[in-house]
Amino acid sequence: MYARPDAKDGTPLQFQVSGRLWRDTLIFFDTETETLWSQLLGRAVQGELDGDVLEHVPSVRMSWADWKALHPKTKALAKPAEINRSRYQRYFDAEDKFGISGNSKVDARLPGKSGVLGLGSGETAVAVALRDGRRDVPHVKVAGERVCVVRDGARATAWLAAVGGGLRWSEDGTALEAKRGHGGWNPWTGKPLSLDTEPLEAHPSVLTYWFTWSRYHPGTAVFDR
Amino acid sequence: MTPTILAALLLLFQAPDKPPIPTVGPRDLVIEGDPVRILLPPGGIPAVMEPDLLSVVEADAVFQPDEPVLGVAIGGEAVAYSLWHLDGHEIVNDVVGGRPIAATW
Repeated sequence: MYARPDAKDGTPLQFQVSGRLWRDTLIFFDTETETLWSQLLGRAVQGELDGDVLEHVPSVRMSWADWKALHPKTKALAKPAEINRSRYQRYFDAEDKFGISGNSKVDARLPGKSGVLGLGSGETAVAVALRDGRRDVPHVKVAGERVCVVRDGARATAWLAAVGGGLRWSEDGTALEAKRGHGGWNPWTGKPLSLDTEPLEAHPSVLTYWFTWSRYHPGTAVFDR
Repeated sequence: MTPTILAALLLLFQAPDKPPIPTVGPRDLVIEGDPVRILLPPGGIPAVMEPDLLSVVEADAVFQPDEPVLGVAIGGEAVAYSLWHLDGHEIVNDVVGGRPIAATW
């Protein structure tokens, strides 16, 4: 998820789907300048705004039931009631289907359809592998910064590990806590559980497939422990 | 990351004498060695430009408990976007907590 910057006239850019794919992922364009933007990189790749970078906005993927428990006053985008599954479910389930460009160039370090939480970019990129049943809080170095990754199966998010000693799951498995000192946080919102604690600061991350991440960041490191 | 596969494949296998698909940007665009393929006309998958938001009670009538959502919370305001619904739109142009955002995954 990205912030929409202002166009020249001071109103926020509006994005539409270009109908084009680059490395099997979405290219969108802004209606004001028709610049092409890469969804995965969050960066303009062709046109008037070429090279401009979109600011990352932290977001999470989880079930509707879990989300509304975290945010009881949430709103939700209206949708037709008859949409009750993903039209791409067969694609998601097919372990040997990697986008439309075929199955040829998949970096063999992980299965192509493995979920990863991608951090950093280029030479400092790190892919944190997500696996069923894995529920932990590894800390990884990204461009010299220590990042705290919360993993729970296919769910994952990343926080700046600004807390000395890092973070871990609390004993009852419901919260994050500091390894040293005190402080507890909601693992998915970063909100503190007590008034004297600061909220966690999100680290930009991308939840995607390994075959996609490794095509955009071929020099990526892999964290699969 | 949602692929635009199904609709795209349909177009790819259309008869070759059809006029070319309209697009934005140069038709033969290659970036860092990889082509930027043209599969659908611009807006062929319609982004949401003016989102209509539901309360939890209203959403419960159309959302399943295990339905995957993309959630964002800014400045005390939270919004969830159904991923099943986003399949057909790819991008939502919204304003959350006063912040203009593009919800996409």
